[in-house]
Amino acid sequence: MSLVEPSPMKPGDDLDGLLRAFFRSQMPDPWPAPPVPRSASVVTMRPASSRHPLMRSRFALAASVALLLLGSLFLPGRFTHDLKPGSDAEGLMYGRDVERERMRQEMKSKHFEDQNKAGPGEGDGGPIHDSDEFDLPSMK
Amino acid sequence: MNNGTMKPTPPPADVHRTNFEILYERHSREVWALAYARWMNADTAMDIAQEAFLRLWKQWESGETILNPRAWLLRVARNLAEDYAKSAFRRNGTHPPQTMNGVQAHDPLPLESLEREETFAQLREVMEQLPKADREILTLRYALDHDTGEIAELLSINATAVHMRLSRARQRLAERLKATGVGQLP
Repeated sequence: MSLVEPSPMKPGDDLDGLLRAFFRSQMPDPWPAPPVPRSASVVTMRPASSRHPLMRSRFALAASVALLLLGSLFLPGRFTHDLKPGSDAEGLMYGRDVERERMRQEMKSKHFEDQNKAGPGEGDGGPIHDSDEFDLPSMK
Repeated sequence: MNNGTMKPTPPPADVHRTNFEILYERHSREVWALAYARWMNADTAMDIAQEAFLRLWKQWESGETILNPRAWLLRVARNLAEDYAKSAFRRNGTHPPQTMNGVQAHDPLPLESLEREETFAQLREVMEQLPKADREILTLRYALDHDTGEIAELLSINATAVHMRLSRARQRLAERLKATGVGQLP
């Protein structure tokens, strides 16, 4: 027994064939892939920390402020400790120059005293050598 | 009517993904066929089918477990197909000219294919005049090649009702095709 009663179409008309061909032409070929749920990739790719997006930026701001405060406390003290007497804001080399000048003056005084001890006439009128001719210790 | 959902612990995302793809492979054609029977438009039917599956995914993501995904998908697809009638998209008519008469454009188009497409367009027009139940059962029978038992299960009716509906649908279609002179493929 046929499931479908005979159609009123003429013999030879293939309604089943027509319908099958029609629906076959309508169905997408190839069949499309399943839709990609957008939220799925977001859920799997999202790191745990990004659940609180403000926390990271707040932590970075707090760390920056703390670093700034520590720097302002320690750095001036370090520069003050390293400066020699006589130095100024222009640099540390100024303290060395003062020391070198002081040693030069001492050498001149000693040389002058030695000349005086040797007696008048000896070395009289001799020019006082320029400080550059003395063998000054290296400051380096 | 039971909506088929409850609230247990949801499985991991990768399991969801695998189940989703299996369900799509098994049931997407049925979902498409139901939507197609409503609108007689392959693209619209595919949009509705994909939207139904995306909603299934969202249900899973929200922690819902769907006990009968097939029934859930078919019900959602029916609702989406009905809602589509109310949407501004359909009211405003945004279909491109190539699909306004339901015939997809193909270039170049040989004469035989042209005649074939013309026959299909006439068949589509006739089917659009049939009751929705007729279109539905014809689509399940001829688009999906479902047998009586499968159609009965899908439509939640018994086999005798399937025979009767299918027979009457074919008879009505044949009468109208005869009246319009559409009988067989060129």
